[in-house]
Amino acid sequence: MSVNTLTTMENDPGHARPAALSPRARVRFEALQHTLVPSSAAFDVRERTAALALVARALSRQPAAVRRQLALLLAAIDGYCLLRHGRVFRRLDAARRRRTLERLSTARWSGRLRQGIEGLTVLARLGVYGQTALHPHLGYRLREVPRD
Amino acid sequence: MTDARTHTVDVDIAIVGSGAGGGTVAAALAPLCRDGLRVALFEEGGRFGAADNTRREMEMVDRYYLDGGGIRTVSGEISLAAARGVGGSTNVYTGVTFEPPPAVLDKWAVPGLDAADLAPRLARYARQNGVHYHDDAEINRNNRLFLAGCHRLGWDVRKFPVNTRGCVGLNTCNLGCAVLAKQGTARVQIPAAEHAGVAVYPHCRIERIGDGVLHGRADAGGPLPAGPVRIRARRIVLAGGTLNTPALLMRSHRHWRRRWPALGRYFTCHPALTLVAEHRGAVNGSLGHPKSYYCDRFAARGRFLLETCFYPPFATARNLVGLGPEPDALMARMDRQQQILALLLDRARPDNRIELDRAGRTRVHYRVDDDLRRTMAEAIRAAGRLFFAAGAVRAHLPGAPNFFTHRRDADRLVSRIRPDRLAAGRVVLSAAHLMGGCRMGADPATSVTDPRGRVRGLPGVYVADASLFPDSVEVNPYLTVMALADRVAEAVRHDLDTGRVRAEAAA
Repeated sequence: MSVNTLTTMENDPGHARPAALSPRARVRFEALQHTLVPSSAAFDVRERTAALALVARALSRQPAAVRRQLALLLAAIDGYCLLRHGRVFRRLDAARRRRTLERLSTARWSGRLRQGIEGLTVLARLGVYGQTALHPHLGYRLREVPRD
Repeated sequence: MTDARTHTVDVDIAIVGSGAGGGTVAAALAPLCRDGLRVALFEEGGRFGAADNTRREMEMVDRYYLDGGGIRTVSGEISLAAARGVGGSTNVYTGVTFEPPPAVLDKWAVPGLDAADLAPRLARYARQNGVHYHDDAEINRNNRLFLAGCHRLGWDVRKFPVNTRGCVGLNTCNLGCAVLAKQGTARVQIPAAEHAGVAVYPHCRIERIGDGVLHGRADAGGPLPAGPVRIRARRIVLAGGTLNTPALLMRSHRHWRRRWPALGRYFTCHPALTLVAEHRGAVNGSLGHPKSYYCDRFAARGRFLLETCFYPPFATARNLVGLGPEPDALMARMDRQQQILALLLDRARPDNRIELDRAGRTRVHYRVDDDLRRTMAEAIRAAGRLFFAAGAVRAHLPGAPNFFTHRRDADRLVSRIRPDRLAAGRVVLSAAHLMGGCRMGADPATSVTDPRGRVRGLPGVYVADASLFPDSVEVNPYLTVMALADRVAEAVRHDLDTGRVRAEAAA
């Protein structure tokens, strides 16, 4: 099953949802996620698929306007990078990517932009730390539920 | 407006919401079923048993929390959590039990509401719900580090009373208990109410109230046919929680905002900071009950409480400020994390309020002002001192110049952690203790209900949840909600006996 197909589904099989991010927005989102949560850059196909599925699922609960705002924010970040560095975000080196996001996340000139970056950070972390399968690798262990 | 598909339910008493307030009212009014009265409880969420509580973080967040547990205030600075499901927020609290401080009741200045009135009610519910102290042997290392840190600093530290029976330390209290050890209303009051004849309707969301009629919608999976419902009732008790009850009244009539100038206003919460430190060796905070100790040394002057906590990975990660490899590094060793929750005690103010947007959805306005930022800085410094006194090697302390503050800087926390570095976007605040919006009181200009929870000008309608609070309760609120709900149930019984509602309606 392809990544594209899986991102349109709930984790729970059988609960199909509409695609939350277009293919272009997905590419932009993943580039940002690799900077916000660098461990996501080392994901294998299954982990990457699970990350996108969690994000798609969270977005599918939001009004269409929020999804449009996210797509706009992703495009705006690329536009900002083009103006400032002559390249889109994913073509920048790691240090510039980080500086760009740090600058935007503390922007005093636009509260909405800052909130947008915060929302994006939450989504990026959701895709990584929301994966139950990864929890033991983080040292997050739980006691077994007693059987009786 | 109703159509042919609308399902009608006729009852004598309808209770909206089944959390600490609604569940308590249901149990307190259940004896009326013996006299032939029909009492029913309506709940937006589903009904879940031990096997449903899988402890998988995102699955449980979707199941129990409104809007995935992250309802943002309009300014975006605080993320509010409220729960649904039979039992409401008592499904996802940690069972930590506080009585309202007498000084808080004095400040509330609600006629007839004092420590003497509440004491027998608090004692009864503490007994019914199994409130006790955990044995020392059950306390995990995350909690013991908090204790040790407080002792080294010479700070008073207290053990939490908790309302569990048969707790095996699964740690995931905030995701629903997989052995149903917490004695919330779904475990104690609601089963007792059902046994006495109260009908429970999960998957039924109430949206508006008319003249003795509730309008809402039943979802598939509940006892009512899916579709619009109307509930005709002689008495209506609203207990859908602080976000829902004021919104339900606002949604019901566009002029009601003018009828009660305080409706939706005086909202408050305990803005909370989840603070994380790293130790050199294993802490394993995810094994055992997450909350055993608190420190109230700063409550009176500093206006914050420090409590132990331990959250699952995403809930922890979303509270970290910053990006890149540092948060990743901290999250990669959750077994070494110590976590502290700083609860900020903010006052209720009329401008902090609940409103509806054009689509009828709830919006919360909450201003984080300079005073609160100073309190935040104080709380972070205190937590930092505690972390390092407990032996942490580094801590993530918002307001500091770098993501990590190291132990070598432990003596310089006052200069490093500055309120001006805690502007929006540089700190993550969340809140689960939501209060006010339908405050009780004697003055109609500043309250929506009378001191017994009767909604002014709506005969037969009552409020019985944390929206009644005139101001912050300054501690974890569920037991206070139960005691107030008990008072409201008493008022319902009294009004039934005296025919007060009929007299008011005739007037």
